[in-house]
Amino acid sequence: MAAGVTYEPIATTTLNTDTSTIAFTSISGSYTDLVMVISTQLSAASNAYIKLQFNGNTAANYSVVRLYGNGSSAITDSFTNTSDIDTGFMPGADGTGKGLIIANIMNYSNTTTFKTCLIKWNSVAAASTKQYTVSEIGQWRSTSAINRIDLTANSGNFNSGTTVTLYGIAAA
Amino acid sequence: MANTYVAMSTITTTSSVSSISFTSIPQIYTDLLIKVSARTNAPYVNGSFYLEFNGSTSNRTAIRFYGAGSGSGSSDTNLQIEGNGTSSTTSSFGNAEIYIPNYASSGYKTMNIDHANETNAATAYVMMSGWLWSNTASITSVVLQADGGTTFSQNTSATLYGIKNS
Repeated sequence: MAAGVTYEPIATTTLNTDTSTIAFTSISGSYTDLVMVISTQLSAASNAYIKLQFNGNTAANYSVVRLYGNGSSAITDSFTNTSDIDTGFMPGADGTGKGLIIANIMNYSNTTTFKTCLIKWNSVAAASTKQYTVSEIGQWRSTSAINRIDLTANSGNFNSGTTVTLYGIAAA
Repeated sequence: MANTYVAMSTITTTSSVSSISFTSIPQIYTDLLIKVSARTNAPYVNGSFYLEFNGSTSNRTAIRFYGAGSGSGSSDTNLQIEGNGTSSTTSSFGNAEIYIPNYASSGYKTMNIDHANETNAATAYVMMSGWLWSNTASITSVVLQADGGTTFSQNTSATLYGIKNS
């Protein structure tokens, strides 16, 4: 059996101007899992969250549980019935560089299960006292196949130079 | 279509060594990924190592959080990445996955590291680190340096992958 491509870049966005929203649309349903890698610094004065939404859905259909460290304490918390997955408290203008978000969205194209994404991110480049390393899980309570992903800066814009790549992982 | 995920180099130690080096890293990929299986001769459960970039030990910062198998979790700013040491179960090696996006870019380099060890005892560690190398140079070499004069044990291995975004 000829080997197909297992790990394939679907789309890459590299900003050349500050932008408030980045979207991946018409996502093919031919993969099994998605991986999204985000490298960004925001134009907000300080750290701000990234709102992650699927299929343009802005209703209160999301929830998050997270575990994180700030260099002195390990903390866990959760959020229910939110209108987006708040992820990546990314460095703002007072930081020294980009933060990093890696999101794994398993089984994104099935139509029988809610959609869950395993996310890890860090903002070590943020101003001191605002530096975090985080592991979290977000859920979108919909059985629809994911065909669109929207990322919106909760404050300010994604800076020019932000890169976001969406990869598809095929099953055997 | 060009390969997206390419194994560039695998190093498996055949004797005790103080470091594992990936040099002359091609600048043709978008991100780097290093998968590690490590044990050192440190007399602890943990066998720690660090990363050095382009021969430099400067401008490295980290936030780390972890659980040790009981009680509450912890967080610190330690640069150490944890494999297994000699106080852990024989033949046990810790795992680490190091993801470095945009390694050839002109900005500071932020990276994520998952690492853990296990020893079938009450205390072992599951950790996640966020790292920052505050240097605008493109990464051309990565060294895994065993901590504090210790050495990596035989059969420690590391593989460097290049990932392309197009």
